[in-house]
Formats: sequence, C-alpha cells, structure tokens
Amino acid sequence: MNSEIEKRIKSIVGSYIDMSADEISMDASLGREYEMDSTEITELAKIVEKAFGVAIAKTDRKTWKTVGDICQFISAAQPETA
Amino acid sequence: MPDHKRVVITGASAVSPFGHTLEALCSYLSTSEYSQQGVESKYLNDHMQYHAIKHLDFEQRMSGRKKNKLDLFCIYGLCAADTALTESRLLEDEIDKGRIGIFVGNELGGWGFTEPQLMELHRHGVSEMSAYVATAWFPAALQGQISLSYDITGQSKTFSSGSVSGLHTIGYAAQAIQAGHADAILCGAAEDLSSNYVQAILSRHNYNSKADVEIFGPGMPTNVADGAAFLVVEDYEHALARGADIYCELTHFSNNFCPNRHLVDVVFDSQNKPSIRSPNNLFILDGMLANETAMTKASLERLSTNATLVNTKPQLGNMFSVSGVMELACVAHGTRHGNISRCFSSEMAEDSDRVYSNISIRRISPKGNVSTLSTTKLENE
Repeated sequence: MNSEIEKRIKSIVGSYIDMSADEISMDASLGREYEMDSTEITELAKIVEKAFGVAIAKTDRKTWKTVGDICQFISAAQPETA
Repeated sequence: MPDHKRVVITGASAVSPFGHTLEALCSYLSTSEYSQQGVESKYLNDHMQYHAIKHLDFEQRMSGRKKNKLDLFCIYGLCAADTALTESRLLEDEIDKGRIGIFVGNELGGWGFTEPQLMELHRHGVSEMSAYVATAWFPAALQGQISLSYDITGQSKTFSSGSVSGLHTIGYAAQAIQAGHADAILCGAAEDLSSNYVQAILSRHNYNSKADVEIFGPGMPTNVADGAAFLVVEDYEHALARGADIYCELTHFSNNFCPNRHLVDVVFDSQNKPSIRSPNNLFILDGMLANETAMTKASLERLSTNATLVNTKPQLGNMFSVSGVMELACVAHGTRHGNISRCFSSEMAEDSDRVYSNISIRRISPKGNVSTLSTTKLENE
C-alpha cells in the first residue's frame, strides 16, 4: 500500500479524533477503539474526499471498519498512485 | 408545593459575560454602579447592547473533537452543568443515575453553529454541510450532551417556553422530585447570541407589540447577553443521606396564564400569598414589561406584605431562558455564604444586614405566562 496515502490518512484521522498521527494504528477499529459513530465517519469521509479528490459513496464508507480500510479504498480509487 | 417532600438546592453555578463563576457574578451585581469594565459588548441598535461571554476556559472540560460538534450554547451549558455537579458532589458516590434527571431551558437554539452551515448549503449544496447541524441546533441538544457526558439517564426534559423556560426547569424539577420520579435533577438553561442571524432578529425586535401592551404594558428596551446557569435540585432526605452541602430550600412554585388584564390581580395575589407568612421578603423581578413592578407592588399591598423589590435587568440584560435561573443561582450562592444582600444591587446595599426569610423570583412572558419560584434558607427541624 502507498505509504504516502497511509501517512496522510493517519494524519486526517488523528486530527479528527484529537490524537497524534503516530498513535493511529492501521488495524484499530474505528468504532470500538476510536469510538467513531456513523455520523463521525460521514464527516471523516467528507474530509478524505476533499483531501484526495475522490468521490466516496455511502456504501463505500459503510465498509470502513479500520484505518487500513480507508487506505485500501483510497489506494483502489487512485490506482496510479498505489 | 406540597408539604410532604422537601426539595433543596445542593449545587449551583453560572457562566456570564460579567463573570465565569458565581463569586465573580455576585461581586459584579453588588457594585453600586453599572460598569462595563472587562465586559465585551457591542451595540445591536441605538438602544440595545449585546454582552458576550469571552475567554471562557472550556479546553480542560471537553476535547476539540467534542467541541467541534457543539454550538456555543451547549458549550456554555456543559461548563455550568459540570461546575454545579462538581460542587454538589452528587456523582462522587455510588448512585443510581437512573434516578438523576436533567431539565434544561433554551429559547434561541444553536444558530452560531447552524448559520454558517446554511450559508454553505446555499452556496455549495448539502454535501458541504456538517452532519451535526441538526444535533447542534436543536434546543434539546444540551440535555442530550449532559446525559451522554455523565451517563445520567433519569427523567429529562427541555423547556422552550420563552423567558419563563428557566424557572420552569426548576419548578417542574421540584415537582418531579416530589412526585417521586427522581432523587435529584440537574436544572438550568443556556443561551448564545453570537450569530449574526440572532443579532439581526434581536435588533429589529418590536418591543411594543400589541400583546405586551394589553396585559402587562409595553416591553422595556433592554440589553441582551449570553449566559448559562445550572442548579442541582434534590430531595432533602436524599441530600441529607449523602451528606450534601445544602444551599437553600425551594418552598413554592406557581405557573399561571393571564389571558387578559382582568386576571392579573388574581394571579399575582395567588402567587404572592406564600410571602404573607414571611416578615422579610425579597422579590427579584424581570423588569422586561412596563407594569410588572407596579403590579407586584399593588398585589403585595393588597396582601399587606413587606418586600424589597429588585430588578436585575439593568445589570444582566435579557438572557432569555437563563433569566431567573441566573438569579436563583446567585440567591443559592448568597444563602450558602450567609449574605444575600451582597449578591444583589445597590438597592439592597442599605439593607446589607437584613435576613430575607423568603426570596421570590418572578418571570413573565409577553403573552401572559407568569411564573414565581420561592426559596428560603433551610430551617432545620
């Protein structure tokens, strides 16, 4: 997976939940460990959309369970940078 | 209030442009002259100033993640609620949080959060709006946030009943406790007036609406202000059992409508009757409507009752739902520290040694809703 995407996603998630990007784990559950509810994930998806210039449908963000899932989604949506 | 269950106040707090603690606010209210030193204000029209809460340290009380989802009225309210709960020590012991309630007043909602979002909707479409617009705007937002913050799950309500909302939270909380629905209820109100939309509405408000004149005379021009105030209202026996510090006792609450001028005397006399038994009464009035003070005086004369009348509006301004709760928080603070007179204006300075055995706070809505809440220093049996 593209390490630049990972770095940026960790930074975005960390900023959103008041944590340092270094503390963000790729495998941590967005819901259980970072206590993000569906409304927060909707907000987060909008920030990710703007940052990467990709469209994120409701059905896409519903599959996000971990930070790694977001990175995989962005990598797939931006194959030329993967 | 019925006699069978006593209800007391065991915690109080307030956040205002004139002080972020009750000590600071009472100090401000007791000054003989209206001073705006240290208060950030601006004119909304030729007759109305807006006093804003500034420099409130809420960073220690909530994360940036949480703050970003809230309107300022919720933030002010959460700060005041947190202090009241801390002072009451209500949540320190093992306690059934299902028996703790939350009654909140709010009149103006969360326009500070919502107004820029509606601008985004207008300019760029719904995709640019925050997902938290609805939950930040609606008046019940504060009640929900308090419940989430402290896991309090008892009977809860939000009152949006105009300028009497705040007194309604206290009066109906006391009734709920007396009816056995809760052991304690966190009651209060919060308002934020910082949005351009709210300020535009306020600056164009017509004080001489027909309904005002018909019942209580015309509305009086007044300043407006942000504010939040909270009290912990508790069953006396419950407070005693946990060793709570009891500030004062709630002794009476009346809420009536005066649909026309002819019923005013009946309602005022009825609501003033509890003060007949008291040798020294203090009435804290709203002063928003021209005839309120004269009507109260006339009623007290009919009942042959002595009272000192105080109007806090010149100093506090209109705080909407917070009005009344703010004054009660000051009364509770003053009673706890043994000097009510020190907490109010120069009108009382000459009577600084007087002990008031009954203190009543009255609020009237322009449409004729009259509410009166009375309190006294706890008399041990």
